[in-house]
Formats: sequence, C-alpha cells, structure tokens
Amino acid sequence: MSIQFEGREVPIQPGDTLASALYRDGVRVFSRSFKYHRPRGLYCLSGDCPNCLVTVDGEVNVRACMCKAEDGQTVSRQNAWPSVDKDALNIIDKGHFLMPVGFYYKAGIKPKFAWPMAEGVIRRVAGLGFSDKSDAPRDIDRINRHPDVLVIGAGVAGLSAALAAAEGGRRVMVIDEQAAPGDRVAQGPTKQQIDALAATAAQNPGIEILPGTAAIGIYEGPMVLALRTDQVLHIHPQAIVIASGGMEIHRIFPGNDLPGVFMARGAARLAGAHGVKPGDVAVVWAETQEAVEHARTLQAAGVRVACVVTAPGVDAQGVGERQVEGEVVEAKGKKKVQGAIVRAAGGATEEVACDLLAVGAEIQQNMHLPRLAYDLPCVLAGDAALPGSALDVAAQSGTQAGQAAAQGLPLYVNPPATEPRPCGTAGYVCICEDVSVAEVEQAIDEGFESAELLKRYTTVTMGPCQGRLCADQLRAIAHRKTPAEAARVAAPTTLRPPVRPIKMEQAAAGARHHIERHTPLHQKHLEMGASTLWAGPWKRIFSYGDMQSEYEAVRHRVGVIDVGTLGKFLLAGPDVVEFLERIYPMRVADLEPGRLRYGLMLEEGGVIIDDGTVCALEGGAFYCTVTTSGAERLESWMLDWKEAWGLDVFVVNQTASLAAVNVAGPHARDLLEKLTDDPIDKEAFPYLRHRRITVNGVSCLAIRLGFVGELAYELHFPAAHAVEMWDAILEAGKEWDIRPFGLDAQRLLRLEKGHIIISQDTDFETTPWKVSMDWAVKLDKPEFVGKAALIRAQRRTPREMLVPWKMDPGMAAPPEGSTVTIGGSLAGRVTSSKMSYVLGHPVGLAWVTSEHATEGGTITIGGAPATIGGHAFYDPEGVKLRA
Amino acid sequence: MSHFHIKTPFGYRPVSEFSYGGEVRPPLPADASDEEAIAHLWLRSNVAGVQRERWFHSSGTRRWYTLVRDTRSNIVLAQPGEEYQEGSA
Repeated sequence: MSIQFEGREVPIQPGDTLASALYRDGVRVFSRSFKYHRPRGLYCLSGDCPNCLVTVDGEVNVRACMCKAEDGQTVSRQNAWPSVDKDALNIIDKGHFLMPVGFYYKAGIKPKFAWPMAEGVIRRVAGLGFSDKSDAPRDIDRINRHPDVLVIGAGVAGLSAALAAAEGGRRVMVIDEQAAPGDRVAQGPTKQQIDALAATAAQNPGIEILPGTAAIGIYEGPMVLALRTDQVLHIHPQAIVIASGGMEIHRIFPGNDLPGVFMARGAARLAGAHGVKPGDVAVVWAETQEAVEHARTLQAAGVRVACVVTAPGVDAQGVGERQVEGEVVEAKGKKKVQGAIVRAAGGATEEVACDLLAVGAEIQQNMHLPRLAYDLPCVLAGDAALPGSALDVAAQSGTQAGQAAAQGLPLYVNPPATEPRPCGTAGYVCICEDVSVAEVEQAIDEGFESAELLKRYTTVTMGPCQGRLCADQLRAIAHRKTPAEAARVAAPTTLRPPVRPIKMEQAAAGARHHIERHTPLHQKHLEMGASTLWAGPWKRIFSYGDMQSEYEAVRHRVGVIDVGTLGKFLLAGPDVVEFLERIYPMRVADLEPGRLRYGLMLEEGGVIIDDGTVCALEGGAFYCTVTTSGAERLESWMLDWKEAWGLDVFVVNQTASLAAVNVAGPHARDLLEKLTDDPIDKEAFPYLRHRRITVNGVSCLAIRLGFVGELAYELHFPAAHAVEMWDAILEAGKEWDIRPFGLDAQRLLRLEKGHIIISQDTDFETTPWKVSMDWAVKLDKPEFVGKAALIRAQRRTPREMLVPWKMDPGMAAPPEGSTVTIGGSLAGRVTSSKMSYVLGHPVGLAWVTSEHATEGGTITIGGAPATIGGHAFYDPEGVKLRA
Repeated sequence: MSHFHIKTPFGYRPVSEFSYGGEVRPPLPADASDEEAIAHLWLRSNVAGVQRERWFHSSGTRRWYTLVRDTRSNIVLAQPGEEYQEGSA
C-alpha cells in the first residue's frame, strides 16, 4: 500500500495518517508559511495548527495529521515555488519590511493603478493551496438528528458522561472528530481506559457513537452543527456535554516555529500511536507530569532523550539522560532544530544539541465550543472543565456531567475572563498568518492596543487555527504592553463558528434539497418530451418542444394546458360573504350562484399581490383560485385576516386534492361535447359562468374564463382522475389535431390580450390604478384590504403606468427588461415582450412615465419605435372568448 | 424542553416548522393621518426585548399562533393561549 507524493511512492501502514506516513518516509518540511515562506513541520498532530495543510487528490488545505492515509492517494504540498523543500520565495523571509503587519492598509495606496498588479502578485505568493475550480460540487446531505443528550468528545470524560446519561434513561449521541475513540492516543493508561469505556458504551443500546464527526458550531435551540465526510448533521439535543478536551499551550520563544519543534502530545502521538520516531535526539520541556509520560513514550520508540527540562513540581526522575529544572528559551537552527537553549532555574543557560524539541506545556481548555454555548443547556467535562486533570478526575467529572444532562441542565454561562497567562517575548505568536511578537508589539505602538483591534489589524487568530494556538497569547501581549488597562485591552476576543475548517460543499449542504411539487400529470408531460421550469414550489411545463405549434393549436383549433398548480380554495361559513368582500377589492355579495368574477388581491398598502377568480357555488360557499406561486402565502394571509376580523369562515386548501386543466380554442366546445352529456352551449353555459358537469364520467367544476383569449373551459376535478381525463381529452381532440401547450405559449396568448401576470408585469409598488384596472376596485364598499391606501394613492397621478405596446411588422421582439426611452430620455422598461404569430408583429407590456402613457403614443424600445396600444391587440372586443 | 418550541394542539413543535408573521400590531384606525398610515404600513418597532408576535405553522397544523417572546434570548414567555405576566421571564 502506498500513496503518490510529489512524483514518488511513499509506503503506508495500517493506522497511518498522511502525516505519519510522510514523516516516516523522511519528509520534515510539510509546508511553507503563509507570508514569509518559512519552512514548517509537524507540530500539534491533532488538527489544531496550520502546519501540515496539503493537497490530496486535488482537494486543497487537507490537514495531513487528520487525514487517514489510503492506498493510491495523490498528495502534494502547497504554497511554494519550485518546491516546499527548496522554496525560492523564502527570500521574502529576509525582507520582512516588505510585508509589515497591517501591510494591506499601508502599502500600495499610491499610485492607485499599481495596486491591482501588486495584489495579484501577493495573492499568488501569500496564501495556501490553489483550489481546482473544475471540480464538480458534490451534493452533501444535511441530516437532522434529535438525541436527548449530545456528548462532544469521546475521551475518558465524554464516554463516562455518555454512560451516565444513558444510565439515566436518555438516548445519547457521542461525536468525536477522530476515526475511532482513542484512535490517536499513544499506548498507556489513558488509551486503556478509553478502550474499556468505548467497549462498554458500544454494548449500550442507548448510546450511539459517531466517530469522524467534528462539531463546528453550537447555536441556539440548541443546535450543534457537525461535519462528516459526506454529511452535515444538524443535531438538536436537549442537553449538551462538551468534553472536547484541552491542548498544550503554544509556547512562544525564538525559533518556536522551526521544523522539529513539536507539541509534546504530538510527538508522543507520532511515536506511540504510529510508531514513527519524531527525531533522534530530543529535548523534552515538561511543564506537566503528563509530558514526562510523553518523554517515556519517545524513549520507548528509540528516541534518545538528551534532557528533560522540568517546571517546578514536575518529577522526571529516571527519564532521559538528565533532568534540569528550568525552561527552554530558544530553539536554535536554520531550517530545522539543531539545539535548544535551556535556562536552569538558577539562571545559567546552556545549549543542548537535539533535532527534536517536544514542548509539553501547561494544558489549556479547548474553549471554542464552550464559548459558543452561552445561555444553552450545556455542561463541561474533563479537560474542557478542569484542564490537565488526572484520569480519575476526568472520569468523575464526565459521570457527573452525564448525570446532570440526564436530569436536565441549567443554562451554561461563560466564566468571567481570567488574566491571560504570560507569554514569551520573541518568536511566532501566530504560525497561521506568520505574525511575530515584535510585529504585534509594533501594531500596539501604532495604536491598536486591544486584542480585538490587534486581531483585525494583524490577523492573529484569524488563520486556519482560528485562535486555538494564539488567542491567549495575543491577549497576553496586549496586557503586557498596556498593563494599566488590562480589562479593556486584554478581554478575550469573540469566537465564532466554524471552529473547524468547513468546505464550501459542506457549507452548501442541503442547498439543493428542494421540495419539488408536481401535478398528477407531471409524468405524462415528461413522456411527451416537455421541458419544465420552476414556478414557486412547482415544476411547471414550459413547452412540449414546439411553442409555435402549441400556440397555433389554441388560436386556430384546440389546445389543453395543465393548470393544476393554481391555488384552489373552498370557502364557506356564516361570514363567508363578508370575508370575501373584505379580502377582494371588487364586489362579491352580488354574485349569484353559477357566476364568477375576476378578483385582484391587495395588501394593506394597496399593492397588488395576487389575482384569480371567485366562483359563487350553490348553498352559499365560494370557490376561489389564486396564482400558482401565491397559493402557499395566500392561505396564511387569508387565515391571518380571518382572525384579525374575528369572522366565522372556513378556508379549505384544495390545491393538491384537485387537478385542473384548461381546454381552449375555437373547437373547445366541440371537443368537450364528445365527453359530456351536460349542456355546454353558449346559452346554457355562457362566458364568466361556471357549472358542475360530468366529463368522461368525472364530476368537474367547469369555469369559463378568457385568459388566453379563446373559447375555454377550465375543468377542476379530483386529482385521482387526472391521468384518465388528460388521456380522454387528447384522444377526443385528435380530429382537431389538439396540442397540449405550456407556459411559453400561454404567455404569448395572454400577452396578445394584454393580460398581466402578477409579479412579472407588476412590482412591489403596483396599485390597480397603475395598471388601469380601476374596474376591479369598488371604492364604495365599506371596507377591504388596501382601501385606505388606494384612496390616498388616488390623490396624485402615478409616476408611471403599465401599458401594452406593439411594434411594426418585421421588427424583432426586444428582450424583456429593455429600457423605454422617449426623446432620448429614459421613460420606462419592458416587462413582457414576444413576437405575435397571429398579428405578425411584436407585442408587449411596459412601464411608461404617466405623461407619455397615452394610447397611440410613440415610445422607443432599444432604439426601435413602438406604439402604445389600448387594452388588447388580439380580438379587442372579446368576441372569441364569449363564443 | 429545549427552548423555542411553540405550543400547538398537537404538542410543542420546533420553531423550524413555523413561518414568522411579525409583531402583533393594532389595526389602523379609519381616520388615521397619512403619517400614521405610513408608519403602520412600513415601520416596525423591532423590539430588543419582549414582543407579542404571530407565527404560522406552515409545516404542520397550518394555523396561526400568537405568543410572547423575548427577542434577545428567543425564550417564549407566554405560549399561545397563555396569559403573559409582566416580569415572568
């Protein structure tokens, strides 16, 4: 088994990460730093630092220490030229003055034209990998989960908490970013205890362990966002236990970023979990007793531990060749560690030769997740609560946290900010963005005193580690420089999700989860070769391939369109007439059963929000249709008004339960007569009436309307009969060469009649006055939604009016959205435009300034003359639709 | 009960099933001035604190609910049908 690494094969072993496999193979420099191209090697081996970002199979910025090595992977390093090992760009490191802190704010301001060029160079030189933009995005699933208790972290504390919460009868989910609990912990008591707890938890049916799952944010709800390889989880627990552990503090001293300087846990992980010697001769700086164990692990792996430098109280007896109480003050070396300067407690310094400096600093909590849990039912356990605690203490705190979570947790309150621990005076504060202590101090001298300002100005804490390594150090430097105002300058900076890197495809998880509504005829349409388009939540039919033949069938013979997406409401109840009188601006009370009326719907500002028809049924009920995209909104809108007025009305949404088709064209009646025995002639069933008729054995509400301008019957009937009805109509229409038609043909048919489409031709300022639909408004009614606003609007002339226009034959239809000019000045815009086949010239609708919006006036659209028309170009008297 | 669930006749449901209907406002009086009408149409109080508001259960019971919420914490102070008492937070 092997991986391809920059043109050569690197063997891999079971359990390897890319980092361990490459290190075993001799790779020491894993990356070049962000700005100065300094060589950087493995450091934390726990996904916290930016040093091991590589490109894997075209995917950039993969953390080599967190990525399982798999046979056949292609891996390369980033951000260097010609190679990471011999990076010519390292020359920048010799000239820090060229890229001072706050560089973007200082350099390249003058001359102005030079900045885009300079920026291009900087963008190429600085930064991380280059993403492969040819990559097709994957669809990542977004999944909701609802455990009772969520435990973040499957270490000793987390697993103890899970067992205790499950004991308390709760359904528990445990997530951990490692591939398995304890996967990356070196052999030893901690590992043994995790293995034992994990085995017990695996037997417990109330516990689900999800390894390979990284929590990246905690939100109100609470809701925890977690990343898996192919999924993004939205976890909605009732209580959260955060046992995300701690990490060794990032110690700052000259040379602290050299390859060969490791966090002690990282070095031990490489040696103990992967069997890879991190170096030949080590200096271990043990500020904790835990770090002494790491020194033992290194020894066991065959590393010569030349010196263990201990903090007071740490016992390193018998570990390493000698022990010195004191501290490490510098790492020596040019491209890698060659020695460590050790200062003994007495003050004497000496250089100890080594190629590995393992820094076992004091443990700090991983505060990222806890700081996001403010005011949520959450409790901390293990190192997250008591950093550096012994195993039994961690287990006990986990058990207590689990018991508390099972019983219901109080809301978590962030502890008050403590004074930051002192940090070194030279070295790299931020290894993500390449910022040294001197640069931070310089920024403070420039006036950016507080940590929040320093963060923005220097970008410390804003790199891939998101402040894991450097947030406290930044506060410490601010504190040191302005000690008198510690509370102001050294307050913790705000932490925000994501606390782990998130890929764009993960951020977009679920973005393409749409509820796509289909009418019962959808499959039929697709079988006939239909193309579709979105209309609100619906997929509607755009065309069956030949719009002109669909159009001509309606104008000259007969066509049929699926209008099942229309919003359909049955309204009934004692106050139904009063209710309809108030939601529609036209009159409803005088509608006799069997009659219908076109109705606008207005919001309180008098703006048109929808249109449709109102049919008065026998027995006092009403059947109302609204537009396809309006149905959802208008149902809640009607119910809201019903409650506001306290009226006794039932609103039944029949949008999905009823199918609807519109049979239109000169032969529509001939066709239907073949399918019904009920009288549908002009006298029995005239225009703007509706009747219940039986078509093809199915009882339908038939409505005579004229949207497309021809004789037409709109049939509404139970959705279960849709397919057989559709087939029967197409069969019966064969003798007139019937065509199903889509929205494209319908839009031209209605445009020739000058009928508007709400939201295509209207906008959020459109009152009925502006579209010359005064006839649809009865201001003498006592009350309707929008009445007061319409009266106010009547007091002044609208700025612009919607008017139909036509061009001369031979002209091409201008694109919709074209500007309208008059005498060279802007005077409006086109909302609808199409070439009329029957008229032989382009027709459309446009907004035109009121003083020019007169019939017969001339406007200019895209340089071509057009004439403003009356209300309809086709059949202006409406003879055909009344046939 | 994790917070921001809304009480319906079918139990407490998570807010993700609802659509926001805005703050409860008194109706515009018939003799309102132009200024009052404009304020009624276009201005909202956008309270940072206790607010009586409407929610439509769009992915559920398809009914409206009126509740009292602290907009700063999303804690529901009075569920639909409950009386809100000042300071009961």
